Amino acid sequence: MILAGVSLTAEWVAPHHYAEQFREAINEPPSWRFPLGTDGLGRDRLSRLIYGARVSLLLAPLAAGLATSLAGFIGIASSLSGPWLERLLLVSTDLWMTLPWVFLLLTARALLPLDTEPFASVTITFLLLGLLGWPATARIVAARAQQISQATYLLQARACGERRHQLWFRHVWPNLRPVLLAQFWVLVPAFILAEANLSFLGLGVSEPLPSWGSLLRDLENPGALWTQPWIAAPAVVVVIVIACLHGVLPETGGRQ
Amino acid sequence: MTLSCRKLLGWAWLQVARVTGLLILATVLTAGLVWLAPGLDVDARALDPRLNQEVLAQHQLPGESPIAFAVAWLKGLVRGDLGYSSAFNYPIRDLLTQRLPVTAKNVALGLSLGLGLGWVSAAVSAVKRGRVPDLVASLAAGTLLAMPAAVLGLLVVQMRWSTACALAAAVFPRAYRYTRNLLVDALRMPHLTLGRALGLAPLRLWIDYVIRPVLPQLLFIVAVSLNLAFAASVPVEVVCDSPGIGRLAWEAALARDLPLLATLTVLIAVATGAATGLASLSTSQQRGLLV
Repeated sequence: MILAGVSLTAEWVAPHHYAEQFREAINEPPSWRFPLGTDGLGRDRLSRLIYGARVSLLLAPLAAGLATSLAGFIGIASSLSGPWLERLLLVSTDLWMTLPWVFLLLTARALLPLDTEPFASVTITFLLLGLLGWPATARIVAARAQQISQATYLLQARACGERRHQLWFRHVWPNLRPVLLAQFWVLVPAFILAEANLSFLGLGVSEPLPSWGSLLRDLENPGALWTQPWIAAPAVVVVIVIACLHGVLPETGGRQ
Repeated sequence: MTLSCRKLLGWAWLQVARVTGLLILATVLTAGLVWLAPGLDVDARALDPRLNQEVLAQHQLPGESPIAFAVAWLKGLVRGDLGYSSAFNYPIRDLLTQRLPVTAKNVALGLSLGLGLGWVSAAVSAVKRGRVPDLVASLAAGTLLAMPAAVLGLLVVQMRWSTACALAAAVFPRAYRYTRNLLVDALRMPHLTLGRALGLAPLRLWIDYVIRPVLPQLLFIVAVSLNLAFAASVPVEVVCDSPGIGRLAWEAALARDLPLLATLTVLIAVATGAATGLASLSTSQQRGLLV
């Protein structure tokens, strides 16, 4: 939460702009002026870490929200539809789930021109994650919606004369909401990690806009970590944030 | 033909249909992505007056639509012709012949190590719940789960370990967590208490009363881990400089060699789809749907 708040107020919290270069201070070690040192272009690492948090911590939940919404819509539609449509939707979901999404992401990302604007590249990256990450959640939502539709309390409510929209808002939606929320919290760290891997490969967020994945590229030089251990700060931050997000999951959501 | 043979045959046809559907879906999807690539039908070399139309015609993708391109690709697949890589200037089939064994070896070793460690750790954690081994294993799994695959690759390079160790580190946490939950539930089953009361040997209790009931789920973990290992192979092979198909996919993405990327995507989809289908065989057997 603290990191999310810091990332939202990056313009006021970060000591410098993420693209500002200090040509006289290239690859500087940590100091009062640059708490995490500077990179090969003289940019403040701490500022880039804060701005990078904005990309990862704000856009990953949006992508997870998109994937959860899609999954909820498809999962509920499959459970409320006739048997043939339900079978078709579930088979399509299974097929989609088996696709190697990393290779699809690489293909889709490679479609973009090399001079794509940073804001466009980051938006498209997370949009792709949201559009590709829904199948597993849809399966879980469909199973839960099926269980709810056969529940005795729903049958009793129907027998009491409740209309369809009343059944939905009073009985179905309150029981589906925890499942969707749990799946949302499963997807957020998964999308942060996916973006980190893509940006590390140079296929995520374009320069000069930083993201945690692109900041990890400084670790590519094997010897650099021993001489400049502060460059591991983005990796440490990613691990801590993902571990905290995993801790948010309820026990049943984690088991799923 | 007996009932069980008919059921097995029906299941086999279902899996063949499933993998075929997956092949068609993956081909049409990636062909569609390739077709929608910006500037696909306008080659930058068309702006170069030094190149003639014959050279430009050689670089056009076949077909007038994504479906036609997908059909042409499938026909080539049947003939054994996977096309030509413009980035590497090499037939795609020969590229795969060179690179696939490297990834296959890394994935096989990584899966064996990751699943083996995961299952053994899960068994120890399930028995010693809340004790030091459980806490240490859970902490290790939680930490590894929170690391991007690229960071795992970097750690392996720093430690001078093999590429398979990075894939094992990617597979281990999920295998451990899922197996631990399965075994904890299995150890609570009342039939296990009955077995102990009957004086059965501990090894037999474990094999017949704990492992055997959860064996289908363990096989399913293998199929899911295969998909995970292939996904992790892309950043890991790039970091570890291993000449496998993961690195090939990355190089193809940077060079916008979309036919090569489409081929790799389809082949990986079929491989993971087949593995999932095989894993579902044991699940179907347990549910009494087959034999």
